[in-house]
Amino acid sequence: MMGAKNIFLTTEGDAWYRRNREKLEEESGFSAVDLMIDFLNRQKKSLGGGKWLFVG
Amino acid sequence: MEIGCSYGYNLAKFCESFSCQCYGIEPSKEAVEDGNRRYKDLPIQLTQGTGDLLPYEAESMDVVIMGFCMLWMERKDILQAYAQADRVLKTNGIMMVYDFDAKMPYLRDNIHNREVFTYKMDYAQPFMAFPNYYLMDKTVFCHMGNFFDKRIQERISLQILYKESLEDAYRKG
Repeated sequence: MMGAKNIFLTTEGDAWYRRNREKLEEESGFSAVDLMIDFLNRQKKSLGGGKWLFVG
Repeated sequence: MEIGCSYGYNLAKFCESFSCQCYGIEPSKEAVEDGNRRYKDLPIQLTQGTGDLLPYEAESMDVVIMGFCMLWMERKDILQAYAQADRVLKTNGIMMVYDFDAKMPYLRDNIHNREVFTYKMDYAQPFMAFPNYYLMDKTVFCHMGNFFDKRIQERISLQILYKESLEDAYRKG
């Protein structure tokens, strides 16, 4: 057994990427990253725009 | 910094929103090359690798994103991946865990490769076992959109954790 990590680093990582590339590019609607960004923006407001993480 | 970032499309959104330096680690060489080419004008640096060995300094990242990557990881590597994510995240930083929200662990075969499995579980839980991680927010949704799915195996969540200082997390005495 090669192990999942080495499989991903050699063949399956690229294969997965080719299989899913178009689907990833189509993800223009709802996505988790939008929730993450909204969350960080809300925190920025609640802290009065003070320096916190990179937001501020 | 995102673990399992593909070609960096999430990081590009972060860059656009916050003008911040972003880093991504991704096992696919092709995805890394595509992303570094596609976003060459943005401050995004993608590197080929896996979550159990992150090529970044300790306490160097404000935000760490684990999005649909831990479910692919071999179980023998997973605690190392948690240790690495914790190592690179700054104190007072944010850990974003985005994955299937399984109430109990599931093991699934992979139709594309018989040597690779996927594992569903609550991937925020190991952090939450420690008092220096605090759950700030949790949103549950599904692949179809921002709504709850009755099917237990299809639920996805974004869990946002805050990394407290050790002095705040552990009371003396």
